[in-house]
Amino acid sequence: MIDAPIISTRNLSVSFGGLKAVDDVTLDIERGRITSVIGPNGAGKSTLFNLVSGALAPSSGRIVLEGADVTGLPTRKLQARGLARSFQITNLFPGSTVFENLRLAAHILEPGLRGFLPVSSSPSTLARVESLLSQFDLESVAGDRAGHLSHGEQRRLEIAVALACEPKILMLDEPTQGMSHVDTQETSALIRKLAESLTVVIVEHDIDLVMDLSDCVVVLAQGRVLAQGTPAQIKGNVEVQTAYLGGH
Amino acid sequence: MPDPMVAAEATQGAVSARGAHLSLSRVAIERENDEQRVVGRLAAVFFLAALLFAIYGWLQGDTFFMRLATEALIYAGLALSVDLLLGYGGLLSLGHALFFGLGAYVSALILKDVAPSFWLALAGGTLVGLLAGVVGGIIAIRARGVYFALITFGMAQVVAKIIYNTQELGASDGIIGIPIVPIRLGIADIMSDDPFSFFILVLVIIAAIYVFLSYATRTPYGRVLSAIRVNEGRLPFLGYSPAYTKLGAFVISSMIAGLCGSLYPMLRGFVSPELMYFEVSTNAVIAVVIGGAGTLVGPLYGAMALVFGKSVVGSYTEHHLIVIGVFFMASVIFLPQGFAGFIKDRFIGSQDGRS
Repeated sequence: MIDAPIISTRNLSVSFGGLKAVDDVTLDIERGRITSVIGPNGAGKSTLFNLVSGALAPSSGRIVLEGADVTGLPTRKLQARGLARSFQITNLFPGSTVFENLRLAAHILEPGLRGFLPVSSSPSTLARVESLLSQFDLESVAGDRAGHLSHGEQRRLEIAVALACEPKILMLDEPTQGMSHVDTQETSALIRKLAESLTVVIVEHDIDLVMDLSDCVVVLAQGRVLAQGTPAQIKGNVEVQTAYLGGH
Repeated sequence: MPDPMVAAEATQGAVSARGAHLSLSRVAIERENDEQRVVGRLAAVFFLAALLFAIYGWLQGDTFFMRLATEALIYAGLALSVDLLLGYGGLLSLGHALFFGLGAYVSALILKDVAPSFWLALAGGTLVGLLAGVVGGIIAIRARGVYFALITFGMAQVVAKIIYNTQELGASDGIIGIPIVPIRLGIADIMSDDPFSFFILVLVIIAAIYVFLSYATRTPYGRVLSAIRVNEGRLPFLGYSPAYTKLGAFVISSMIAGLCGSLYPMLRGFVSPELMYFEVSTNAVIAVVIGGAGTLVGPLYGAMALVFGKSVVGSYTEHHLIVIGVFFMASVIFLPQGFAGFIKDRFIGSQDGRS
């Protein structure tokens, strides 16, 4: 392996009460790849996501981002280091328009003093918003309130908002959750396209999607890493089959 | 066989739809501008009406209503400061009388004991609002929702009681005999007891606060503050700090409350602990709610309605609070967005209908 991993966890654990939700997880996420985390319900996928994105503090273990120990850093500091995430349940500003949601997110890249100038005065922010609108096919609803969008459009906006800060690592929590088959296909193509320029980490239930999309698959069960490898390796792994894939 | 006319129309439709797509974020901006235009017109009507009222009052040689209107303007400024927190940040302060009252006391003390200087008193009131805002903000913004409201309420009650029991500050009597101050404006000197001139001066100050706040809420920081009201939890994932944003808004808000408070003793010639009481805080909140939270212009109208409503109803019955209470309930039930919110929705709504 030539490239150092962009993000690593070392013996990461967190407990809720007596339950070890994430138990001694050591992982290396490679730069520029699509890594998927799968596992049965309650395997600790979302908890692992929350730990890595700074939403939760680990009980023990370390998180290393581009060689720097970032364990316990607040979310917005991680964001400033290039880590962005989306949410499983669309988590936006429903009363604001699609455009305003994106503008708010895109503005973070402006220097601090620009925060005191009128909100629509930055050409670079507006350009970023325009390009996200077209990239995610949201132009026709730019002036609609985010809460009025269809489910598929909201899911797309959710990813677009996470991307607005031009992150190095994009973490997607069940990006196609509740989407129609066609929408899922389109989102999958979109993620593949995004992965050309950044590192993508996905938590996803849709096994077919994961196997189709990922460069690397991590299987969690009961908070532990059960297996990791290419989709082909995971498909052939007997342990994974018994624990998770069942009859597949 | 395809109809050539239909085909041509379809092509044309597609072209214009593509043209529309290219400018859709412009459309989104224009929608914001439409809202601002409606609010701006309401503000223009307000300040113009105030000016006409002042001229009419001046021609009539009126003192009572002019002074009442000046007082209403001062409370309108307090309502503006409450609206920044409530209407934008979603933070219900039940203790803004604290900053208002501190501004009034500091202004009174400066005018009486230091120097009869309008500008010094104004600066002193603003500064004490700022300092108290930093301290109060650090304490209060940790809490959310009803706990934030209770902490602000508690802080105001504590300080009001301390002043109520401090002989040096006149205790329950407050400070009376505040001298009339000459106000040097460069172009003209006016006296604070001249009802017309002082009204105009206060009007200009409130207008300046209004312009400042409506600008500030349209900056990216203002938008982050609004985003806190809707979904505070998402902001750190976008790289923003809700805590610093809330603290900043709290300090600006209490500074404005202190500034408005410093005008009070110049108008009435006294200050008393009642200025820090719960009723002053809640009246500001009521003005915001009936006027339309998050519009800035609404609270201006709300404060007028409240102060004049009280005075008019109060001249018929001493139970005027019952009438005000019923009026407040009716307004919340029938105009949940407040007066300005109602006007805004109507206007923007009819525009949508046209397009």
